[in-house]
Amino acid sequence: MRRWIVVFISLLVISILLDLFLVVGEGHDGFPWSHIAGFFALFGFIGCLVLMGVAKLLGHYWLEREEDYYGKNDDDE
Amino acid sequence: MSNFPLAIIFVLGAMLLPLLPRQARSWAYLAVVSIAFVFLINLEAGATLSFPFLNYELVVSRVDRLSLAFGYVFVIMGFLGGVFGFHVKDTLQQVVALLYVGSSLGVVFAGDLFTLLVFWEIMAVSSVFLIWARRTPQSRRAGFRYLLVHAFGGSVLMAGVIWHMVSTGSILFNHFEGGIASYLILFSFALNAAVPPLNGWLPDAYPEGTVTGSVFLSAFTTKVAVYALARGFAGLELLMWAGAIMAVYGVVFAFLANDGRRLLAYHIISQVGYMVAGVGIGTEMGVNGATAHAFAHILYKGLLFMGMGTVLYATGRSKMTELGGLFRSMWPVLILFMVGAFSISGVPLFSGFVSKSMVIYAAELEHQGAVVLLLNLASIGTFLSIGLKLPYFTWFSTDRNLKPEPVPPGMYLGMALTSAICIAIGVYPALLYNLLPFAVHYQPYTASHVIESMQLLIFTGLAFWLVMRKLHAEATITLDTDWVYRRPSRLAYRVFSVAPASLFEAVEQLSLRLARSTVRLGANPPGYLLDTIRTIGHTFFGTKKPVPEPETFSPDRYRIPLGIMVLVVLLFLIALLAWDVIT
Amino acid sequence: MSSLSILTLAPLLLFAFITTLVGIWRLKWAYAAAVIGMLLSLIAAGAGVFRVLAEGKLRHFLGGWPPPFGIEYVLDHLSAFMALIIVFIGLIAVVYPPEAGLYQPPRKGIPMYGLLLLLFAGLVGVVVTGDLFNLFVFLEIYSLASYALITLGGDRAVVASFRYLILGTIAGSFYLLGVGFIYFSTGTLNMADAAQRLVPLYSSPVVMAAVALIVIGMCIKMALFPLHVWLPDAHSYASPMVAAVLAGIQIEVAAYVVVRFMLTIFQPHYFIDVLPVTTVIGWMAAVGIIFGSVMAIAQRDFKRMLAYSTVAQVGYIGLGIGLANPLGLIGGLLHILNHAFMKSCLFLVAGGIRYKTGLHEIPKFAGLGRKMPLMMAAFTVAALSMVGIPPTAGFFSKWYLVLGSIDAGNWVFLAVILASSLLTAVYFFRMVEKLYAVPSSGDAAVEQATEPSAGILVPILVLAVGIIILGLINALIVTQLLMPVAALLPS
Repeated sequence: MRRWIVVFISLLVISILLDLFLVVGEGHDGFPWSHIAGFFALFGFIGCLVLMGVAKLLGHYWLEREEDYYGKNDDDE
Repeated sequence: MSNFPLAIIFVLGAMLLPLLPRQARSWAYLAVVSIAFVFLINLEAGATLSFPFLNYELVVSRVDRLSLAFGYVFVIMGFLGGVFGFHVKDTLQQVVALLYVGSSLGVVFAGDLFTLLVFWEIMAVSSVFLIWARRTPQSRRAGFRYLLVHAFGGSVLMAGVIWHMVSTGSILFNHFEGGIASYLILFSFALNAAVPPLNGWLPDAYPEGTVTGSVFLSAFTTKVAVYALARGFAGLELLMWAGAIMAVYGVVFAFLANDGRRLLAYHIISQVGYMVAGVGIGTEMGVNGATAHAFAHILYKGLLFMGMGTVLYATGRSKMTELGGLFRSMWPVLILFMVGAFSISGVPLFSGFVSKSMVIYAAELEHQGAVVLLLNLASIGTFLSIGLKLPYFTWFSTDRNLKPEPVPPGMYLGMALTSAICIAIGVYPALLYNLLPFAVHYQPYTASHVIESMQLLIFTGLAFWLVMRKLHAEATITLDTDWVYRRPSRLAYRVFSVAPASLFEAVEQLSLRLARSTVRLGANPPGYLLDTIRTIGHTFFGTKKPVPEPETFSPDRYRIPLGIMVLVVLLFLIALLAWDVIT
Repeated sequence: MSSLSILTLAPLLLFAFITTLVGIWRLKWAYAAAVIGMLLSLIAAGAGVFRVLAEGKLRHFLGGWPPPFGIEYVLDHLSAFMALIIVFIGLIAVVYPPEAGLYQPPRKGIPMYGLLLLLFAGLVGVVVTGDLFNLFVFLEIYSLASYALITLGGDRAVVASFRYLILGTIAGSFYLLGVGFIYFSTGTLNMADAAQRLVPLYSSPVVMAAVALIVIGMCIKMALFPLHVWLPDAHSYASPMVAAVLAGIQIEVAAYVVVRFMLTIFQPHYFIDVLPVTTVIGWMAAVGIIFGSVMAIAQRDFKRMLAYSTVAQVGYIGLGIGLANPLGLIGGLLHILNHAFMKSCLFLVAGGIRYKTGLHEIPKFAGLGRKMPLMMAAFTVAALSMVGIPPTAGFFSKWYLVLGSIDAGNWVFLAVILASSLLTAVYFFRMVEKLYAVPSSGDAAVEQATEPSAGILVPILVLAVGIIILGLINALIVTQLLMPVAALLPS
């Protein structure tokens, strides 16, 4: 477990460094995030958590139903 | 034959196939598609084939770079689907698949709206049978709903086409300039592309198709609609936003899905969102991106459906709550499936990486920051569901001691061939870029792009891994926009009281009553009418409480007496004569 | 001048008698005689169409007596079109085996085929005659023949036939009364002559009353809502081949009469502006389309479903008349042709199913698609055409009706046409689904079912292939035959 965390943190650092040297200098888009190193790493991490969280919330409180919600699947018309 | 309408080959093939001996049919299918491919490579951009019809000129074949790009991928996918489905003995599926592929090509190469309409309808009718061919009660019902939705869409399209013809005097299929007719046509194109809120039919019907049928379904209808939107409505800003939202909508619902193929179906909506957004952006880069993504998507989505289809074939199950622990027995399928998963997620060296990013880049060029973020968010969700969650629950997670059946070699071959193309495009994008409508000024393998993608994917994976233990698939379904016509059409019974607000309860009660009335009306119209009249009489005029009429229609009960008939006739006569006298 | 009109009619009358006489002697030969008679008539009808296309209107004076004293027979585009449809469907019906089509082989002493030929003689007579009273004569001939033929379907059919008889006689009497008024006002029974003499009389209440009577009478025979009430029983209980003929062409001949009066005997503006005939017919038809479709959805019995479907389809024809513009009329007339093929095919399929399995209720048809692949394929083609899926014929008549509705700016009619496609899809695809997607429930009748014999199958397949061919060549039919007819209407 601890080894994996170490791996990920090092990946994060490496990617931020790569970002700083190879990417940020260009700033080709003029978007606010092109100047932030490691933006996409953060976006990926937080975005994933947010997606999962929001989806689960939506499901739990609104959208989810039993499988036969729309009626028993019988042979009738 | 630089302008040959490919659809004809498929129609002829479909007519001849049932006459051949059983063993030859699968080969015959592949032969038909191969013949079509030969004709395809002889098509030249700029060629047309037209002939007169009443006062108009029908352009049955219009070849240009846009239609060629879609034409290529449709024929290729038609072939790959035939390889995957080589073991299928059901002639109905084979014939219908030919018609489905052929009519899709018919739409793509149609130069006028009438031809488009004809092939559009044939597409709808043939695809229904791929759902019905599964022969389960759920598939029958889902197929029926699919049919009605598409019949409705077809009617709207017909109305729009005729209106357009009448108001502009032209029957040609080109960019639309606005006006009610084009809105109607846009509506029907959007319906087929499953743009929310018109998306309910897709996740309802696609998982119910046969193992091979769903592979075909995933490839054609929606992408034909994308082509149609690209041709008719490129640059419409509404589409850009619709696409971006659609992309995220699909992944949210996909994450909640339990059935693996339903999850994939929602991802169709999400990926088509990229294409629709690209069309909406409308620049050369945008349309290129949409086309490239359609090309790549048809292949990798077909591969993904092949993968889950193989699991379904071998185990009889497709729900994540019923699967798990297949790694040992079905690891080849896992590998091939992951090729598709990496493609759809946009992992470098796979096809999605070079296509998806083109659309995002088009958005960046137009400074549409929100769109860029939304599309990237959708990528996160895509990798999450397809690259991580689905394989985890299908091949790993809880071991349910499943004993999978052996799988026909054709299925492996189909998946392998498709994987090969996905990787080939990823490694050598020029293969795809050369087919695109406009000249490509884009280099996907830049340092920044690769780094950004890796960051996105790795850290999505991290987030998933952290939460993984807490995740478990639930045997539920989600409500979607098809609730609107499904809930009122079934006699419901007590619902899980999840709804918090009493407003929701009241709406449900109302729709339940509406549901029961519609069913009663449909089963016995005169009885329903009589019941309604008597009830009104009872509540407002205090007449006797009505005894309900029987559920089904019985002709003997509602036969109108002879005298009444004669009376009606006489009344008519008197009315008409009175009119004469008065006027 | 050409006697092709009489040559279409004469073999039918002649062979009606020959068939009956031969039938008394040898039953099998009656069948053969009937087929010969129909073939001769078909040749004449076909020749008639070609001559009319080449030369225009063809007139024939019976016995050489010129009008207005003699009876005249006329073949123009409309009558040649109708005559060919009638005789072609007639041939199909006669060829269809009686065990399936009439529930039993011809019985000694009952002149089934003779009656059938009389029925067709009456129908052809109505469309080729140029004389108002002569039309009544043929109208009654075919009506009486049909009352008799319906009763062959069993006890309930006898009652249904009686109800039809009462209403049909009322309709015929209305027509006669109307013609009487016209004769009284103009002094002539010849259609062309009356047309001229009626012009100064357009504001006369007598003429208006005449038109009202004639139109209502024909609407009863056409089963236009709400005067359709006799139809569901009559068509459900009649034997399949008889029902095919009734629904396929007999109803449409009544529509022809209305169109003939509108275009030839009166000037169109009379039916459109002076008397609101087209408006009334149009709206009744629109309601009828929805009504028929909804009722069809509720039916479990296959033939009754087809009967209500006929009410809806007649609505399309009525809508075409009601739109009162060339495109609409083309749609309505084209639908006469298409419906003849589609509905006959469907009823003959019903006969085939009943003959092979004894089944007539749709829920019991589960799984028949695999047992009788060819016949059910034909059914599917006919069903697709009824819904209006290209390239089958049904799509094109809908197309013209939609064009006509847009031309007239009538959005309600447009909505009705589009909605009815959906409704039709419901009741037909429900059956398609039962045939193909539902596994058979183990019913012995279905398990042992096999494809019917060639005798039953060939007429059905001919019609089904015809539906597709008609779809593909519809442009030809419209430009050559129907446009000259519709040109008489103001656009």
